[in-house]
Amino acid sequence: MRGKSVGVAGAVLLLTACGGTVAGGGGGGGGGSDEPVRIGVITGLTGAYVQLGEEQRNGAELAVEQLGGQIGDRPIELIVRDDQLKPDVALREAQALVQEEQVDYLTGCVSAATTLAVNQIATQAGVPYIGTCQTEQLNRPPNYDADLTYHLAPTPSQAINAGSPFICDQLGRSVFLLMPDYAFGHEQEAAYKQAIPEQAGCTVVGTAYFPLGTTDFNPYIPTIEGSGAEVLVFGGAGRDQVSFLRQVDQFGLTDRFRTFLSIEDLSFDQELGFDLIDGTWAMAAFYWNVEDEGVQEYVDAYREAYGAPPGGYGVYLWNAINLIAASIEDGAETPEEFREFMEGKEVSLAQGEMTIRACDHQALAPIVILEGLAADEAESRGGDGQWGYREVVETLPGSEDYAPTCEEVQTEFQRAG
Amino acid sequence: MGQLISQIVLGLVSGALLVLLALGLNLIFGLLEFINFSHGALYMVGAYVASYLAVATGSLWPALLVVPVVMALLGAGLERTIIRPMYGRDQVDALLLTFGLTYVLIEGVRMIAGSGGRRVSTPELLRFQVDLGIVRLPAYLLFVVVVVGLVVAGLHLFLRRTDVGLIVRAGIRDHVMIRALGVPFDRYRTLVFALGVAVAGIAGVLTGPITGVYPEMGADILILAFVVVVVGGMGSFWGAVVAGLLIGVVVSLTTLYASVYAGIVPFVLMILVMTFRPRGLLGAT
Amino acid sequence: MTHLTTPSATDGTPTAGEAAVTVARLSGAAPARWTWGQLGLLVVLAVVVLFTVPNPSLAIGMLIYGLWAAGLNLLVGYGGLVSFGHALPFAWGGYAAGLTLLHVSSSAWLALLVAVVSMAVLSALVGAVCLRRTEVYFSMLTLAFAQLGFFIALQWDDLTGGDDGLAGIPVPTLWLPGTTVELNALRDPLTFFVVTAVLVLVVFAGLILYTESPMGRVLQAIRESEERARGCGYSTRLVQLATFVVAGAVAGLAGGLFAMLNNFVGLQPYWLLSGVVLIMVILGGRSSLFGPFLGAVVYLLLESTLSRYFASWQLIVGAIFVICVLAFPQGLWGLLTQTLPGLFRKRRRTR
Repeated sequence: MRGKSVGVAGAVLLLTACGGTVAGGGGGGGGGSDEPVRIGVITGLTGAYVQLGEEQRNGAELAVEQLGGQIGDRPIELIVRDDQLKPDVALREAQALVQEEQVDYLTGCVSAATTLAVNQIATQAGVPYIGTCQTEQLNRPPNYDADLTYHLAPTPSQAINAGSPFICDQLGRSVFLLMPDYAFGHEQEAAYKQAIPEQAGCTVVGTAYFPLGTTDFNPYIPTIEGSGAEVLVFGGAGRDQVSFLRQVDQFGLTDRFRTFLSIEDLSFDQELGFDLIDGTWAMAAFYWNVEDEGVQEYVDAYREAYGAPPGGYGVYLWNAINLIAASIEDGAETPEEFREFMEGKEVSLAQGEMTIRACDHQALAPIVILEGLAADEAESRGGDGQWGYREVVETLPGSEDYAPTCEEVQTEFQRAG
Repeated sequence: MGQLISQIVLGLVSGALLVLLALGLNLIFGLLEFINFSHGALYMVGAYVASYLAVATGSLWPALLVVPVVMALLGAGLERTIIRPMYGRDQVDALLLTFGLTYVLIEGVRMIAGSGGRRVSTPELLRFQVDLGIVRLPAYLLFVVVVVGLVVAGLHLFLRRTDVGLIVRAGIRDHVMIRALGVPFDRYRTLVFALGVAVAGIAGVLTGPITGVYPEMGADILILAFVVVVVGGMGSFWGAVVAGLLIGVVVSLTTLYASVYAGIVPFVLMILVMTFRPRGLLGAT
Repeated sequence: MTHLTTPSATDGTPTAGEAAVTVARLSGAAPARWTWGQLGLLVVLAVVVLFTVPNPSLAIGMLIYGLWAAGLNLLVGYGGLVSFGHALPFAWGGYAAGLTLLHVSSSAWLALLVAVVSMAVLSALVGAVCLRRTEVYFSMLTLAFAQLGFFIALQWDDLTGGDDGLAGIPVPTLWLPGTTVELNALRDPLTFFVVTAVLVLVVFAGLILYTESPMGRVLQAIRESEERARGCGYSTRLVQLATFVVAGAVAGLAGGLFAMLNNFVGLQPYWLLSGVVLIMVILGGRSSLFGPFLGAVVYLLLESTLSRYFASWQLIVGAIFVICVLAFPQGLWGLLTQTLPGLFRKRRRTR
């Protein structure tokens, strides 16, 4: 029974030592004039997309540093947590941030599954959440809360509506889609199948899905070759993209098909290298070499702080924190006032000119089309011998035209009740 | 019909690498009687060593010779230190130990080499395609198939034709008897573990140019290699070879007709095999 | 080995009990004197968690994961059946409870009942297939079924929400004699904690009863030697199947509670999740029911604190795991009940 008595003694000791916790309940929140602004960031710092997660943390920390660590008289308290890319961990960390740390704002995410989990907690707790990864579901029922949910990353359909004219006009009129078999891929497929036929004479001639975590794309080669397509659109990210491009290159497919990557990120590019990137095209919501004052300010600061240009994911966090700062300086203290500030907001930040439309809190920001370069073109066309993997060939400004109209959104909300 | 054949050929090619991983796993299981959960992580370590060697020497060729040696040494070291205390204990203990080792290896590599993957280029010599009539294959993949074939043949000869192989095979049958005959059995266990790890290392080297090299690369493929071992029959040499190729072909054909199911088909196949042939396709009954 | 031949050894004569303890010690089962003491320890642990863990969601999560791990240990520790697929019943329970709350009624009792009963039925089916094989083959079959479950959950996204997760599960209400309470973990974590703790304690007591029942004894006998147990006239398959169903139902309950805690059911690779709960069992120790519970609490504590300060926290978890298997094969429980008291005893003797 010794263990038991030790246990009891320990419990009593801890009981007297600590107050708080589940039993004690939290302290008082609420923003006074010099009360700190607490911003919680939840992102994937372990798991398959570590680099994107680390970049989000960098973007957030950079923004806080540039603001001098405070907004007006209120110091900023930035709390970054790892969601391991797992929804249950995201839920737990979100609850910890809300209950334990009493955060005023939540932001960050690199996968749809975790963003929806965090949003769930945020909406229950009445904390504004600024989503930063590409999904159609965040600002749609049952997830969207008009008082609290915001989305800074483009939805897949926005990007695809913007990029499809380029695919059809510049690359070819018959398209084969190779998509990852999860929500992100399904959303892309639906968007392409709607947008491609809208271009004159352009068709989707075939689609194939690959399961999560596929490393072997060999079995897809005959289907792609037999499809007779001119353009091969690939919807996977990260490791999938690296494995895919390596293998289609070995088969010599990149010479015979025009390959278009639905999502580009500098961290993927680094793993691909010029050899594989050369002769492909890609689409992104952010690229470091876009000619825009706001973008370049951010890129310069980021390079100075971290020694390399930023990829596409830190920018959302940088923007989110700057938007929060601007709202507070504007006098917005409560979630209601934040909503008022955000709705219809037109700003030019590190994503370029951006509007946050009122009806679904979706950011309408530019999409860029990129052409892959060879190593010897990097300096002249890519703007940098080391990092100039791609040249920006087209910039499509953020526009209502690429998103579902607000009426369509309204009817969707009404149908869901 | 043409497409069907080319799909089968590609499946066989994909299965070749699985065969290599499954063989190492199976060899270790046969003699040491536990499932080496860290096999995938060791394969990853082999791939990393290769990627650094390739950068240092400017070519993948030296890695193909050096990595198996390095990995065999690493394997022998691991066996002598942390695997050995597991003998005579519950099978589960060794499995869980290697499970923990997997975490250590993956995170260790991440700390040293970073979270991002590393590039390994296809050797200059093999950057072309070969037209086999029905299907055009990258020369590099053909090279992979040849190397896998050589390794399989080499292992087979080693086990069949050498005295050491004889003892190993006898040990797989009945190690109590072997020990009773006065054979220093522990030394053979070290040897077999080192050999299994070396084979995983070769698989790692070969995979580099196909998928790139990254810390989690062993995780998914390890589960598939388990499936291959079980379907082929635990401890069965040719079982692993046949099952590896079979699963490669089955996945490849599923991709053609219903790509969504490609990921789940190996598991369904395993359930079916387990139901009708409990010891696997070529396992001893 | 006397206890093997006395089928009705619920508590048995002193000699039979002693023999059971010797065998149990040798093979790592719980020393008999701790049987009901575990329940007391669990109460203490729950109180400690309640007052020390600053994050309510983590505190409640510890209870739920603890229950899940303790249930798994029926299979792993007591039955010698290592399941690689114990994420399946947990996830199933989550979906079952979540969908019931979403589409049928907001009654917590109903949701949990559906989770437990449906999972018990499913476990009986899955177990009937998996238990036809033993050892590694059993493990691989459970893994295969977990993968199958993951695949179905991912594909059937109209129902489950796919990898986006099942969102918008309403806050459940719990009917109690004379009153109803809302189980809102975010607004009122204390109520949720207490309700969960009571449920967990009751089920935990049930698990102890099960291991002490003739059925539980036979289960352990099968672990030591299936042939001998069969020779004694037991239907070994049936006992194992019953245990598989109990472990599955407990995991289903845990999953249901977890869905209520979060009002959300997420999807993640099941083999990873199955690995995590297995780690908890081993860390805590296989020889008792309380050990895995402790393992779950310690694992979650390690994970949530280490990950804040050290990016490569999994390295530490892995290393602890290796050391645990090498040096403390009986896990934390063994450390507390055998190694430490052993040290004390030795010191006393040398003095």
